Amino acid sequence: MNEKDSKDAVDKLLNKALGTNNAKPDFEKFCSANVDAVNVLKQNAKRKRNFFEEYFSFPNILSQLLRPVRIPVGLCLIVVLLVILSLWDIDMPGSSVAWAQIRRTAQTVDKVKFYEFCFKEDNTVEYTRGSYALGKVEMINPDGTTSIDDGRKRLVMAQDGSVINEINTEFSNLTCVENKHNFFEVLTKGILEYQQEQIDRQKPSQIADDFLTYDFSPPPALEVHFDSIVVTVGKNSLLPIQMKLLYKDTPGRYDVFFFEYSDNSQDKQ
Amino acid sequence: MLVSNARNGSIDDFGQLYQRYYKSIVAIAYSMTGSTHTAEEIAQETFAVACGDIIRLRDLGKFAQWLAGICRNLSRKALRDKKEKRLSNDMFALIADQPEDEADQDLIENVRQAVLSLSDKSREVIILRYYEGLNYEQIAEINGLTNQAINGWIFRAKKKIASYLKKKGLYNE
Repeated sequence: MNEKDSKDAVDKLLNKALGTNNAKPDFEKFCSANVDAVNVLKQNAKRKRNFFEEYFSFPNILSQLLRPVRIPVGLCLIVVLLVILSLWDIDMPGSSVAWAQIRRTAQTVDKVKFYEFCFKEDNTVEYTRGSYALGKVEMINPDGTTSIDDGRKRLVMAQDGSVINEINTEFSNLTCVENKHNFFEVLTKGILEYQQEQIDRQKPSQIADDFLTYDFSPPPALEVHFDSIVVTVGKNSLLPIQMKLLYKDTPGRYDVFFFEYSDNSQDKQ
Repeated sequence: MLVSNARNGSIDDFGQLYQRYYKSIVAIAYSMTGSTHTAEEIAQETFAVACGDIIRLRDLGKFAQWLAGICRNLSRKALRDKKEKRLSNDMFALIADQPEDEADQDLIENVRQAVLSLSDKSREVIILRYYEGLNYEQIAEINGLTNQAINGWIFRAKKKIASYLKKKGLYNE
């Protein structure tokens, strides 16, 4: 069987198998069954289309003008869009929040509570809690004593309030302590004060629905001790919620800080 | 001109369009639902929708294409309502002549099955061509394609049907 005969054979089979369409159009019946729809159509006759609408309606003109160039114009638009997207910093919300904004927001906080967990290399955990208020850091130490550090000296007190010892401050030579304006830099002992200009420009490494994560390398002077510093920030409040310090000199050790802004109530998260 | 007049409220002109396209619309609905009764109901509904919406039709030259689009949407909706995603196996059985010879009956049944196995678009084109008897130009108008494209669709559909029958040992090229 040649190709033509083969096609004819399929044609015949299809004609035989499918039969014929016996549907009969009956417009009168249609009109009587669809009175409402027909009335809508008849209404169109009463609707006067003005000259402008008839000949100069915007979509028609645009459609006619663009007809011969529709595909090239479409392609050009796509290319232009891609160029704009690549040049313009169209990112996810939060991706453009530089650390400087977080630092400025932290400066507005006068009081904050913090909880510090030190995970040691032998899998034990040391817990400390305390608070920062107007340049002073008060901590309840693991041995039950309390220490108050104002950046000049550190007073260690027994549970009854008597001063046991007066030692050197842990926050010496920190401008943030002297200026009494940034709890976060005080509590991190100024780690993020080094190369501040560079750190200020840093953008989040992770963006979630309600928080941003900043991943900092330690300053050169502290590279021997720290591996990295990871700070989680509330996306709405722009305040640090959590900080994780990973140590290099003691494998397996890391400190986690949680911050609570109950007095300031700035972080609703 | 007919479409333009119908759009401006001429019921006579709309009637002429109805006469011209009714059977094609039934055929499209039939290719999707597999029931002549449902197909006729969908065709009526298609023209009722067109009556109310023709004022929104911008490109008057694409009336047939627009009408076919309404019909396809209504057919899909009908299938959804009936929760029948597949066409029934006895499609075409009621309308086509039943051959007396048993061998012929088996062959015809397999041709129907082959048509059922086609994609929606291929089946629609085959139904419009063989059930409704439209020429390539008319099918092209309804689908907004060129005659060559329709020729290609039909050629490939027929090839698939032939291959289906060959596998069943009912057809030799």
